[in-house]
Order: sequence, then C-alpha cells, then structure tokens
Amino acid sequence: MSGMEHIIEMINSKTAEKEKEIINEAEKNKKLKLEEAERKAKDTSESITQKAELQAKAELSKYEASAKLKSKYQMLNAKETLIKDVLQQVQEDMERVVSKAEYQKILANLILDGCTALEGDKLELLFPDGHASKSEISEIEKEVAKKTGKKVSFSLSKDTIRSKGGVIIRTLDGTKWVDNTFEARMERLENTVRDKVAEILFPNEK
Amino acid sequence: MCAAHDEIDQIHETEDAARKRIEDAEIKAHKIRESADKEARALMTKSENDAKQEASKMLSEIEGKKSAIESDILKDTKKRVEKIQTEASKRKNEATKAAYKILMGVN
Repeated sequence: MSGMEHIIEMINSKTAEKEKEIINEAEKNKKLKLEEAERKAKDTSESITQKAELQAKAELSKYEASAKLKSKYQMLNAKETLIKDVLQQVQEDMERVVSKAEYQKILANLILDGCTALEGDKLELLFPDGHASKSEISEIEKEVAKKTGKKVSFSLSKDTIRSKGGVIIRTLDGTKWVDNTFEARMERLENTVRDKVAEILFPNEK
Repeated sequence: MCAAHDEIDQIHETEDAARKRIEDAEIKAHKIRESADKEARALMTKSENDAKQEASKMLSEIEGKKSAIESDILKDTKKRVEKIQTEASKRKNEATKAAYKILMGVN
C-alpha cells in the first residue's frame, strides 16, 4: 500500500468511525428520550386513572351513605306510622270509655293522682259537661283516705271544661291545679307513652 | 511533480467526500432526534388519551353502580319494614293496652 492509499484509507476509516459515532449518539439519545417519555406517560396515565378511581369511589361512597340515610328515614317513618296507629286506637278507646261503667274507676284514679300531687285538704273538681254524675265523690274521698291516709273533701265546681273526658283537680283558691283531662294527659305523657309503645312494638330495634 | 499533484488532489477529494459523509450523518442524526421527539410526544399523547378514556369509562359506570346500590338498599329496607310491620301488628293490642293504662292512670 502506497503512502497516499494509506492516507485515504485512514481518512475513510476515521470518517466511518465518526459517522458511526454521530448515528450511535443520536440513537442513544433517541432511546433515552423514548424511555423518559414512557416513564412520563406511565406516570400521567396512573395519575389520571387514580384520580378517576378516587372520584368514583368517593361518589359511590357518598351515594351509598345518602341511600342508607334515606333507608333510615323510611324505617323511622314506618315505625312512626305504627306508633301513630296505636295512639289513634288509644284515643278512640279513651273516647269510648266515657260511656262505660269503667269510666267511674278511671275518674277516681285521675282524681286520686291529682290530689296526691296537690296535697290540699279541700279541693275542687271540674268535669266536662255531663261527666260529674259519673263520679262518686264520697267513694273517692274514702279511696283517697285509704290510699294516702289523709282526709280530703272534694266539691264540684259550677264551671265545666271543654274536654272529651277526665277531670281538673284544683285548690279552692284556684292557685294550684292538676289538669287530668284526657287531652292534657295525652300531651303531658306523650313521650312516656310513645317510649312504651315503641318498646312493645319494636323490642328488637335499638 | 504531476503524480504528487494528483495524489494531493485525490486526498482532497477523499477529504471532501468524508466531510460530505459526516454532514450526511449529522443530517441523519438530526432526523433521528426529530423522530425521537415526535415518537415521544405521540407516545405521551396516546397514553394520556387512553387514560382519559379509561377514566371516563370508569366514571360513566358509576351510574350503573349507583342504581345497584340503591336497588339493594331499597330491597333490604322494604324487607325490614315488612318484618317490623308484621311483628308490630302482633303486638299492637299489647301496646294499645299499655298506652291506655298510662294515660288513664290505671295500674
């Protein structure tokens, strides 16, 4: 090989080497760039999917809680309807009892209850129109004496009250009284009655 | 003298050809870099679009799941209400009597 051929060979060889180096560098750069892009794409994709998953989960969870609350209200409404049925039945029974003999005993109980709370020895009784005759005052006085050990005398008021049944017991000066009419007792004892009714109707429900 | 001149010319030609080859290689390398950018952008765009589609599908499926949840809870509630009503109807008289006793002051 002549000197010139050697030089040309060297130039070609160096050129080929440089060419290879330039292309290899570009290919290497491309490989790195695509790897980086894949990583970024994977991260972005995961981020979008995770966000959607969380959103879906939160929305479903919120919806489920709302549906459960709705269910709870339906249960409460159903129970309320059943309790109201009972209270309605009791009210009808109370209205019916005034025409029965049993009413006399009820009035006696209501008067006894009232005079125990008032602790006076002279008390006045107020009845709904036409109900006074259903009460045996002398019998009640005996009953009170027997149960409380106190002598209490009752007088009938000239006034009547607007009520379906029951009695108002008051001191003669009118400063203290116990309203034992059906309506007042229903209002006063409503919570106790409702609790009792619920306890019987739904023994397994807390 | 002429032969030496020819040789120098030949070397110059080789050098020119080498420069041209290097330039071509650089052009090719540039194209490779450009195509890398393009492929990387396409890759990311596709991946993002796929993920968005998947997310959209996931969110659109929620409505079906909501209906299923509501239906299950409603069914369960209906069953529980019916059970309570049946059980309570057996105890209605007892409850009425107890309430009546409280209100009438009957022991």
